[in-house]
Amino acid sequence: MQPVDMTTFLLRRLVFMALTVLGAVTVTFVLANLVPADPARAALGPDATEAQVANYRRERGLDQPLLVQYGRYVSAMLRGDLGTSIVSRAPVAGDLGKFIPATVELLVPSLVISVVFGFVLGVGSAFFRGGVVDQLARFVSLLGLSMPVFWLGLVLQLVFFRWLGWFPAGGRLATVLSPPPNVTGFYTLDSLIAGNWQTLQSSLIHLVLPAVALATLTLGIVARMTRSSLLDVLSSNYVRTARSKGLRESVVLWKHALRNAAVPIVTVIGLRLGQMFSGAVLTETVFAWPGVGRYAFTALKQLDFPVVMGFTVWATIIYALVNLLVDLSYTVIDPRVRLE
Amino acid sequence: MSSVSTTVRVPRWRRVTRHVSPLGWVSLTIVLLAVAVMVAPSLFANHQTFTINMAQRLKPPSAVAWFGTDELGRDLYSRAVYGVRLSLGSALGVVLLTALVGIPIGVLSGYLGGWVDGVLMRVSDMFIAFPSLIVAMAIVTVIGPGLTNAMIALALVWWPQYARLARGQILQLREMQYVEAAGALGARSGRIMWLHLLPNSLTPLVVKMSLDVSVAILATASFSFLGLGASPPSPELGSLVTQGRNFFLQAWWYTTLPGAVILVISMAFNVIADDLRDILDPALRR
Repeated sequence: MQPVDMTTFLLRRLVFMALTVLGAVTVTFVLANLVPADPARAALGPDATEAQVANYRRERGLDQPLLVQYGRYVSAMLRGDLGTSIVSRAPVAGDLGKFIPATVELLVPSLVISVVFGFVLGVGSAFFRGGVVDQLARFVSLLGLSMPVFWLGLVLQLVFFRWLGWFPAGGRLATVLSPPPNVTGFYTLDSLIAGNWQTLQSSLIHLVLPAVALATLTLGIVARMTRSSLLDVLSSNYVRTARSKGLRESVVLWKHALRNAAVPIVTVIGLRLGQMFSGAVLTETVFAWPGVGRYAFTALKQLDFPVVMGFTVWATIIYALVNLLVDLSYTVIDPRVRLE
Repeated sequence: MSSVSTTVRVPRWRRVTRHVSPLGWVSLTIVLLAVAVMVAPSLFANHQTFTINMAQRLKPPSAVAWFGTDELGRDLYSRAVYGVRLSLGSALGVVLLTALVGIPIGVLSGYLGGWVDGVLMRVSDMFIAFPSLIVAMAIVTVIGPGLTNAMIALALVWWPQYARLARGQILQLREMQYVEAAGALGARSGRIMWLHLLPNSLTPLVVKMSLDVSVAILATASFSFLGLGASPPSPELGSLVTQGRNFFLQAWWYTTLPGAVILVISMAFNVIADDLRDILDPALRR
């Protein structure tokens, strides 16, 4: 494809993003209608009379042909209305808004842990290639890649909650404390804003174990990618030139090599960020973390498909946005990159 | 030979094995052991997996019960042995199924080009842009929980990765002279794809499959942990972790040991895939 200017690039990507979201909606809509269970019966319970069920179906438009229902859902979605949960009877968009901050609050420290440690491991192992550091880093990153997250979560609870008593087993806050007044939805920031040190401390220690559990896989992936990308660059001609003109090794590494090794590393971090939103289901389940992953999973088990569809739409948009940001970041990291 | 040769000839097998790390040898042993357990679990189990013995409930690991016992007094080591059969078997199944769906699509797409390629690749772009695990979970909910259905759902969301890889390979190979020659000699498309293109594009696909075994072990175990795959009383390893979760504050071994088996096996596959990539892909050797 020919290089294009920023506007064309953004337009093209937005169109593809819209198509992807439409695809996600279509897939979940088809799935929701393949379920043998009757959503009206599920919502009203076994005691409801036939007339009540019929009434409910009429109110919700469930008696309309599927194509009409689909059209209604898509047009409502465009207005920001994701429907109503069958179980809680609350609007899905509102529920998502309630649970998303908890997940983001968990994701941010988790991503920081995995990127910082993964990067350090990767750089160390490329720099001391073949040595003990390299072997150790390889072991740690493969361990991260092979870790069953749900199991790690339980083991962390066993060791640090049951045996050592250092950290709580789950939840966002000690049960005796009430959440800080809602401003951002992040308990840590809201505690700071309210100046409540007790809730700040409690929300921070509740973050430690789930953030570590969620970080392992990404840490392994970032470490591997950093190593291989940096090794590629370190064997290139311009690095040899930089070394032969007598530059210090630290200057070669930090100023010359890393910037050029950054593109694949940023790509893989972006991909992981998108996947961590769905990976959070396991961590949130183990640590009873009231985030959006657990919310969506609970809805799935209850066949509450409006919620599942709302979540899928939201997750697909986030995923696409992260990928777009990653692509745009290439032009900042490497001026030679042209948008296609 | 009577004359003394000055160059030391490295035997062919040494040229391969010297790329295997010490960790790789350990891992190879673990993988072979795991496969043996998968094929013939009765040789490794030392108790009946379903025999209930309430007098022995929730006993810690000992010389008799290596992994301890569960809440019904069943021997957890023997259950984990049968769990390896289920977990590893279904993981290998997922990888094979995914490859069987994805590779033909990729080969067709790359060889035929045109609108077929356009449609297939747009569909796979879309699948890649979904949060795949969530979609897989939704599929399992619809077709009903169970190990087989979990395998099908994972294959349904993962095939585009294989299709893309295979397509990329075919696009490169299609321009090769020997393919052109086969076409000039009158070989039909099917023959060219099956006999010429596919065998020559296998290396990266095999590497990807070996890397994915570990991903599939973790995914199927996670599905069972969430109640979407195998369900109790199945001894599938992820399901054992779930069953132990109810007792894990009093019986640490119940969740810890079956889960550790998942970790060890998936790590062994990862190490081997890592070494395999070095051996099969000389460009990556440094």
